[in-house]
Amino acid sequence: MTRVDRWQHVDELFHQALERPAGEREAWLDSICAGDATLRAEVASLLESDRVGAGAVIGSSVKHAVIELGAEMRSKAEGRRVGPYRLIRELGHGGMGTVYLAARDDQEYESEVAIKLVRQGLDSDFILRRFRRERQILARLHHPNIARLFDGGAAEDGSPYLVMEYIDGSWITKYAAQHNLTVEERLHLFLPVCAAVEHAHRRFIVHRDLKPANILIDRSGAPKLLDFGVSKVLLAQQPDAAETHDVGMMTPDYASPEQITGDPVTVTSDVYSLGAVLYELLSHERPHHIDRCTPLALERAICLNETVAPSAAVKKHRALARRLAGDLDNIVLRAMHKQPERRYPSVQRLAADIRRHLEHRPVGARPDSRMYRARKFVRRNRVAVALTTLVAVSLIGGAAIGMRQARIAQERFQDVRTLATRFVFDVEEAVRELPGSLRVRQLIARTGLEYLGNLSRSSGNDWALKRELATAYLRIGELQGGVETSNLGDTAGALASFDQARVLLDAALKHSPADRAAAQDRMTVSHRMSDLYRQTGRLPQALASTEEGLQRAEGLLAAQPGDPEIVQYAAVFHLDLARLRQQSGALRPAAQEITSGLRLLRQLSAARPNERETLDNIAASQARLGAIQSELGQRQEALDSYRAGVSVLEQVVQRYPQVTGVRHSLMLGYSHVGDVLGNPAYDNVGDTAGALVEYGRMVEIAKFLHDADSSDLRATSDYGIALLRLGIVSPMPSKRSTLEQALGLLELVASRNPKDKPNATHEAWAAIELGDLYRADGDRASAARYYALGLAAAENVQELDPDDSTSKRWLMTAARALAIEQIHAGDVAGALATVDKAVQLGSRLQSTAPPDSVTIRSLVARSWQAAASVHAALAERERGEPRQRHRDAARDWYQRSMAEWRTLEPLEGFTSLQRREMDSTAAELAALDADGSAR
Amino acid sequence: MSAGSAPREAVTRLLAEWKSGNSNARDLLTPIVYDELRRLADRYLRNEHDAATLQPTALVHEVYLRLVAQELPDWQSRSHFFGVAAHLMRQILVDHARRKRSAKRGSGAANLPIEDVVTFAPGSERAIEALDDALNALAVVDPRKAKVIELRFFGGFSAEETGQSLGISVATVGREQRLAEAWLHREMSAPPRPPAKRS
Repeated sequence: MTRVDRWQHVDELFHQALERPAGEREAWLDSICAGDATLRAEVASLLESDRVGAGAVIGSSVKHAVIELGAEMRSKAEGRRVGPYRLIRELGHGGMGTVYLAARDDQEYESEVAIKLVRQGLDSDFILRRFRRERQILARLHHPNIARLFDGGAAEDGSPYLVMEYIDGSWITKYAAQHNLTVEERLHLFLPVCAAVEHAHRRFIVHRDLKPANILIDRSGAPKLLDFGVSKVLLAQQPDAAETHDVGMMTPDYASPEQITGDPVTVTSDVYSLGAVLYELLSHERPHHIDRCTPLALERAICLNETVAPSAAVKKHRALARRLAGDLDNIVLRAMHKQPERRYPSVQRLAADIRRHLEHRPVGARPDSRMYRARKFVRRNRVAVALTTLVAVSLIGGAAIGMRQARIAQERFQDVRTLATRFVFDVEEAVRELPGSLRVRQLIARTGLEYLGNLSRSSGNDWALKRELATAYLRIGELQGGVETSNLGDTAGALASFDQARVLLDAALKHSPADRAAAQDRMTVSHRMSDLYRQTGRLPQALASTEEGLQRAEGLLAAQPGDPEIVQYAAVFHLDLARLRQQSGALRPAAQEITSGLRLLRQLSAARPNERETLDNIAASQARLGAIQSELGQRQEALDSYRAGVSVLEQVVQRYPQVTGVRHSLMLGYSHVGDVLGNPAYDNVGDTAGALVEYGRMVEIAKFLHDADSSDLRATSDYGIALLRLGIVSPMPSKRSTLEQALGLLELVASRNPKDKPNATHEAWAAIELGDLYRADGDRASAARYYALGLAAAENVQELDPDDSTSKRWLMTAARALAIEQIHAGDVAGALATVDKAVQLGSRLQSTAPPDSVTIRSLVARSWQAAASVHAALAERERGEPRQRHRDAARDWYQRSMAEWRTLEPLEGFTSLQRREMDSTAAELAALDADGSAR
Repeated sequence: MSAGSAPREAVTRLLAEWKSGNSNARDLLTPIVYDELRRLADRYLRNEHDAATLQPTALVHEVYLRLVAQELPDWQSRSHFFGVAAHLMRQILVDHARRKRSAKRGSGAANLPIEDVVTFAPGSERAIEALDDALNALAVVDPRKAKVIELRFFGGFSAEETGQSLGISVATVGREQRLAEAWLHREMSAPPRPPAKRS
């Protein structure tokens, strides 16, 4: 009997046994399995197992596993620490992330907060960037009916989080139902919600996901808006397919038609959503009956189907239907009009109508036909200038104009105000990503400026408006020519806008000196202006602007020592100053500024230990400081600075292993440390073994990054550069193979991208190193080939960028070495032509170099030395008069070179490397003279 | 908003290809179903209440609704889909249990051998692992019975659907399931034995 047959037999016996009464089974088995004890035992054990309840075991195992899995998914979060907070429990989850109740457990009396964490799997760089930007926007919202944003940062795994006010409350609709509120009470509850949304609109923030779940009524009965602006991130950045599977991302019941169709979303989209919330608040019914979430069904329900009036939706409750019919129907339906331009143009207008209804005065909302007439009237008064004039008149002539007209004027003024800002920011944002939108954006900026100008002129003593305009000018300046990656490149326009912002902010601050947001905006203006001045070469103005900003920051810090936001500004200003000092050649002051900036950054980092941006800035500043100290010849100090930067980066890499940018920075960090330790091409402390270790680490990262994406030319080039450095300090024979591998990679990149300057510069260097190796081996033909390759690569960089200084050095080195090989091979004309390249470059540099630039003038000295050594080599192979001629020429060039070196020697920045070169020039000259006197 | 039209199209296409005999289609389908299943599990199970009431089979059905349901495909494609999803559901639960145990072990518990020899009462932490091992063993002895268990307990198929999917009568499904359950229960209650002894 085969195993299968036997099993089938067991199967049959099992079922046959089951058909018999339980009491008879034993005996039956005995008879049927006579002689086969194993078979009997098998069937009996299965029957026993069946008897003791096998039927339940699988289901319960599975059930248990599911509960376990769920518990783990929760425990992953619960008890988990995020920054200084401890997560307590989940409050809810939305499309972008999960919100947890959390507490700071370093405080004796726990204060509870809500923490929003980006959902796992969504933390791509893109989302993270938007999240960070969103956080900055949210920080601007301070309103009693908006849940406050306290803090934000990055969790250990790198995902960002927002810390918000925790609202212990229930949805506005549920609250109203639980408390059995009257229609009037509901409307009164709704008005502060409008005020909160309006507050945000004035700060150019559109909520885009208003729904009962985002409007909580807290214990004191006050409404609080949640989730401000976060959904905007999603809707703008997660187009259709990517996030389609998550209905939670957007709530179709309250979404406006333009959100469904993907048309531009503006403040009137929020008006629509508020209308939908009001609809439900008043009628207990949702405005649309959405049973299926297919795009078609949604479009039909929200964009096409006529919205049923709230009163009609509740016609069974006749009293309520009567109460809603008329004004409230009109208000809700106007807010929810399918065409955005037919809705209330602002939330304020919606609130005003609700208020009028509560005061038993006629409301503005009418069924369509009458509204059209109203619109006609409005159209006649469209021009912004006319409207602002009207406001001015109404302010002066108060009594002469009826209150109603004055109010209309005020409302129109608000409309223009909203329109100007909305036009500039929403529309601009909508078109920014479109290819070829530059002209449109220029037009937007220009038109926006016109509006702002008109508003500005009539702002009078309206401090809130001045403040708002300042922010608008600041934003528009950034758009014109500031920091935005896709700015319009209009530097002059940007400076003018920043200046407008400056004037308005100065006025606002004079009026209310304690306005913290204004003070911060004012410092931002200083920073931006300094940047623009620097970019356009106006260093004195840049310095003045930065110093002014620093003074402001220090003034604020004196009042609020250690305030992280201000500390950050102060640090930025110090670093700006450092850059400006460095650019004007003042290295020591630059180093001092960086040191001050670093002190503040470290202070900041201690206060916010989880903020990656600060750590990145510390590392970058340490590297800059190291470079300056290196240039000043302060090798030990440079080494310390570079090492401090590296240790910060090592921490960051450990914490955010998935961020490749940090690894790249760390790779550069190892490179710097290795260079100072023992790279013969730089001023080093002579620790070749140490350099070997650092370069080994550099190669490890470079290889990792290269392997991660071998099609990335930048990564390939970096890998070549790392191998080159490793090769230079490696002993033979690995030295040769490492250098050859490096050159191979660098040549590969050069063939694909001949314009890659750093790559070509390193290609030249690698070729020269290999040339030196072959010459030392006596393979002079190969040496000449490599030197020629190095020279060509260096010349290529010079063509791309005549100001590049490193390639000049390689050009001189390669020219000199190649010329000597050419002489050796008997090609005197070729040698002279080659060395002429070095001499030409030297002459050009001598006439243009600043007298105190050691780096550039040492190139001049090298150039003369190259000419001298070629003549010395020629003298070697000549006899008689020509020999003497070359010897004289060589001596002449050597002496010129020495004269150059001697003027450099006392200067700051004359490094041991240059001293070595100077000494070698002196030695060659001495050898020439010794040789001459020996003959 | 369009409920995952891109993966939906892919799934529909792959199911059609599978039906017409392209065996690669199964391999291509698996990661799509896996991702959706994990995502849904993550989403539902985070909520304590949901986790306590949710059947894994409901998850599989939801995945089906999200990835396929638009136009009802033929029963063959449907059972292909549920076959894959049920297997993946099982894998997710077992992987999690294994990971969790190895994490515990990793945290330096010195007294772990004891845990390895005790038997597994249903509902104990390792029950799902024991079930998985036993199912693997059953698949060697009698693949069809293992399949019945997988479809019914991890895929949420009814007896009728299971029968249709495997080409057997409902009565046979019942018989297969009963013996399989007895066999699995016995295996799970016994101390682990080397597989060689099971023949």
